[in-house]
Amino acid sequence: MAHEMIPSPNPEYFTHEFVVDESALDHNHHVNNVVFIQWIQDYSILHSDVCGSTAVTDGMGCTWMIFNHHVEYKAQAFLGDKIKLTTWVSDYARASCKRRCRFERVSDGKVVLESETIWAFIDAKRGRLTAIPENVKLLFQTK
Amino acid sequence: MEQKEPNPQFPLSAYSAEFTVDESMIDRNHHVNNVVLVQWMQNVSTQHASFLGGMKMMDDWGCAMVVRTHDIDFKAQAFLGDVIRCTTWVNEFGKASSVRCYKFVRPSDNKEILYAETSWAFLDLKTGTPTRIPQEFKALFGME
Repeated sequence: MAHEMIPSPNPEYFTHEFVVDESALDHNHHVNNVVFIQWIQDYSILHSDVCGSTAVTDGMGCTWMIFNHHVEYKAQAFLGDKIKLTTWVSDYARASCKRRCRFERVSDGKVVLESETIWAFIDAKRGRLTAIPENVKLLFQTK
Repeated sequence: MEQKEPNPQFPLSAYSAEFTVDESMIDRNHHVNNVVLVQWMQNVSTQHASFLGGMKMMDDWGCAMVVRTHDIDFKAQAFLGDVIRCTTWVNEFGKASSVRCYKFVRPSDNKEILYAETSWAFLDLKTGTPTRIPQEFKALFGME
């Protein structure tokens, strides 16, 4: 699914609106659950890209990996629905962060999905957890 | 998350399939992308229900099982060429819901790749609301 990517100026909450197209639908004529998992990943990475975190993380030889997904599907989404995504980092541990995502249908304000994902910060060469530097955390936070 | 095990009293409630990792599944971290593993969760669930005749039964009734919640632990990385054994079982049936568990293991070194629990709702597709799961459907999984 191709979306027009519009970076948000706010480094804390990243928001983006898009319209559900045919490729997102399944046998039940609604957005498939796996498609939401793809969106959770894609918009989390996009947030990281636009706030400069991906470049800094790459430069340090580090990367993020998902350790756990908790996903709540609250309502179905259908073809043509305009969806507003919001994602933010809600919490930090030494070598991981919790990122939340919320998808709402713009027409009726209904929350379609909420998720919480634990992303681990990994030293890519050693393949091991490593402490998240303060300068990386600051990129996702309100100044 | 504390892990459950399949109940050997209900052999039909469990199902396994093997998937092989190809290039299209690898991401920038050189491992199988998380979305691919979630897709396998869906595929193995559908294969299980299909194998027992459950998909046709739901289609005839105009009903479907839809995901309400996913809790997924990614426990180890899987890589290009790995064969992964994906086991799923219906852990319990509620009135209009079920809990399905998933355990993915790489047989070559017995490493556990993923453990997950998914809560499914049984929907009447015409009304879009949950509806009671008929005994006939639970019986397919040997769980009357």
